Amino acid sequence: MKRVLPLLLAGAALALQGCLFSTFLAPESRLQLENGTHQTVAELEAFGPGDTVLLLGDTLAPGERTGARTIDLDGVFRLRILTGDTSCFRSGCAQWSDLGERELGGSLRLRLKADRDGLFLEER
Amino acid sequence: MRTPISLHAARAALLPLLALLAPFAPPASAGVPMTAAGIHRSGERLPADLAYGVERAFSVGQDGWLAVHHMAVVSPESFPYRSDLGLHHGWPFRQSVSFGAMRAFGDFAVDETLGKTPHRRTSPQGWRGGLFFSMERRGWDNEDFLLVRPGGDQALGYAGYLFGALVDRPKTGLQFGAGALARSRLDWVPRDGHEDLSEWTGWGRVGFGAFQSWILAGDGVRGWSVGLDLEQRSLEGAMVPGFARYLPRVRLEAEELADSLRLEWEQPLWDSRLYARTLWSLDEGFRWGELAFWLDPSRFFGLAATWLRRDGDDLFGGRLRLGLLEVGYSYAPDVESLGGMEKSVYVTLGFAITRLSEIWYGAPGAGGFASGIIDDGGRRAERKVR
Repeated sequence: MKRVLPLLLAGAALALQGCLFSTFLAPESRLQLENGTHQTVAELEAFGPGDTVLLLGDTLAPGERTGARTIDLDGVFRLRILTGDTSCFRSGCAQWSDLGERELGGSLRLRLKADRDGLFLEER
Repeated sequence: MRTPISLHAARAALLPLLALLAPFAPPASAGVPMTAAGIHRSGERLPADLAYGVERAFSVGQDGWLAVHHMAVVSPESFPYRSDLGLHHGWPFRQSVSFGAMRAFGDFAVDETLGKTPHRRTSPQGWRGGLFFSMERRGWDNEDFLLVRPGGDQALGYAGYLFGALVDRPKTGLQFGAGALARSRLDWVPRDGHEDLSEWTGWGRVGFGAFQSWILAGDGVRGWSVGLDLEQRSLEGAMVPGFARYLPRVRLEAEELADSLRLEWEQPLWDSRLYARTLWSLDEGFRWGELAFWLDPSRFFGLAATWLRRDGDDLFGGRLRLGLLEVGYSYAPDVESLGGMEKSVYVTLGFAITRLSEIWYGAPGAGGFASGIIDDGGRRAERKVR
């Protein structure tokens, strides 16, 4: 049994490696967004040429932030955000802004900010 | 998020082990992303790989065996998957299990030259019959899993199941087999319904001495292979095969996907330790080449370097076998059969237990079958009895 035990332990570690690494290195993806602009934010999406996933659907007034939400994405994705003022969401003048690629995974706290070049996300 | 198996207790118990291993994890985002096209290519190869694995297991006429094989990646960033949405971190998987048993009818010959047990060997003089089962699943999932099928949003993969019956006559090397192969998709397309994507084909096999063959046929012929396994090896000071250890292993296989033929040639170069192996396609020419060195013919320890040519690009890789563990990096046969796994490190654990002429053997079993000691043990026992 003494000879077999190390083998069994090594086998178990390998067999469970995915679970182990996902527990300690890649835990559940969670995202919290704070609106640091003077516009109202409606939706945050990950998008690609053939697919779109809604990450946050909260309406955030300037200065507000969402709770930490679980998202089913872990990796590098291109994000876009829908912004405008309150009347825009009714009249259709809200605009999508491309936020570029960002790595998602683990617990992320992001703040949406604006400068002369447009909107961008910074990690808090 | 779905949890594949309940592991709270195991996680707690293995925490110290993981803490020790964590510093050795390679940097993130090192590997080339897997793609849907590559994984579908891998699924197309799965039936042929299963049939070939069973051929290798049966070609030596063992009494029974159990083989398991599990591939592991060192971090979820090692081999990401590129979808239409972006780059997903997750887990490529390849797992296989194979077992079978043969029962002999009639008389046995006893090999007295090796003395009494544990070295005494017997060999059936008549026919044998048996059953076997072999399965493998491969693909990519954004969640890791072991025992349950993947079901993540980005899961993509295939499972194959080959089972059947075999009769053989070890004294002459004559073998016949028949069975069925089922292949199913592990992802669910369309996602809103669990559509049954299984397909069935029949499997047949004939072997006679060095000649080995198999065929997969359903509505039409889905694949076939014929080969000559001429090389002989020796182990543990058994009789040396002489010039036969420099004879090649040659195989011609129909490629269903490309509607072409592929030729595999393995040439022993030095003393059952150094080998050159290459794969050529009738349409595409050179596919890959391998130079493998084994520390001894049992193949417990070895090193291999490979050169893969694909769409005009060259990819160099290798594999290190340390007992039951193998460490691979862009290893050409794996890149081809898995439709990816490039430019980052992965590990495989393979173990096979085989009963041969009343003796149990353990061996590395990467790919689901012991590639070294089974072959050698079988041939040696046969030669000694004659």
